[in-house]
Amino acid sequence: MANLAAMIIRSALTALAGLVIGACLAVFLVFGPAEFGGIKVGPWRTNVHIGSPDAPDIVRSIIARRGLLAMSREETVYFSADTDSDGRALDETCDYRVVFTTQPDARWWSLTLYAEDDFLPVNGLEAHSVSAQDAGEQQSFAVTVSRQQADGFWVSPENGGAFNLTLRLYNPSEAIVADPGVAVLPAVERLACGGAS
Amino acid sequence: MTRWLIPAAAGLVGLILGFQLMLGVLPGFIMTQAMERFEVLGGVANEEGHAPPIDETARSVVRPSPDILYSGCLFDVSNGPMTVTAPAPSDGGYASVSFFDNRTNNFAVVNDRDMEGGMVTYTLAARGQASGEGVIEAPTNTGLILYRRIWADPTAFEATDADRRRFDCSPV
Repeated sequence: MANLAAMIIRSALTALAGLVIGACLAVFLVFGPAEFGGIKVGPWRTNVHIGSPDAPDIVRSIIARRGLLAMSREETVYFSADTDSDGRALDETCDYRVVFTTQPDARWWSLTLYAEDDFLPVNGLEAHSVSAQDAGEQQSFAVTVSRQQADGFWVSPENGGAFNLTLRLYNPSEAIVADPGVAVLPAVERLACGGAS
Repeated sequence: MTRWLIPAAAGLVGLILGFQLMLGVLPGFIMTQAMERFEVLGGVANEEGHAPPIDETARSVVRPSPDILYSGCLFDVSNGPMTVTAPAPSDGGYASVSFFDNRTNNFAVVNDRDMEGGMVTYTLAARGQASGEGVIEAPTNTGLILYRRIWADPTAFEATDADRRRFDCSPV
């Protein structure tokens, strides 16, 4: 009888510990740096479940944390990159070129730089994004990512730390809605690192 | 053997349960926080609010777009449906109205292509409250409606701002 009571107590305690560890694990996965699943195009990643009621709980939680109020992909496809095209983490102390060989196949698009906290970097420069409006009729062009002001299209990662880039495609083509993996997206080329601010 | 097997199994069940429960709770928790921040910014349930242009001080919702002007409306259809009116941009640019339930799901979205005649009106209702053309059924009684309007020409801010302020939501 005493053995049974001891086993019940042990079971209750391990269940309780499991409950707490499981909850902590979920919080760590959602608020940690890890990304799960999705479609990759070069350094760009998107998830077809964004905005969808069909999203698995883990995906819905991560999207709620990093892309709250994002629309479903029929309306907008969101690609984000936190590495360059060679897989190296983006770093505000490096300079980059985001090289478009063609404009994204969508009615309108924008490229925005976010600091590692997923908000616009606070640097007073107001150089956070480039859009279809800026590109106009150009198909082949590059956006410079640098703490130093650059000629042409420029966004600044100043105070962005391990920043990330988001490419929004509003009213994307039917082909991209059906499979975001077919999108032709810009390369992210790293230039020099360690330049003065 | 069973001396440890049963507690280990109980621990595993607890682990899975804790993991799933937390994942089930987090989206609602994050959405509630966002809605509370919206309230702090002056948003009142079933009444539209217009956020200032996005700049680096914007901290209400992650990844705001500086190319977009946002208006919003916290909805609560517990006591009846509400009317949502959205203007198409007069310059022919992109605009959309997206509806989010209180678990972050984007359950409906319309854009300027649906806004024939320059304006569109929808009725947002809880299940069973209304039916017919122009009725959008909300899966949860509370949530958020977001109107996005591209603002790509800084020299045209006043006209663009006046345009998007025609976005309206109010109880029927």
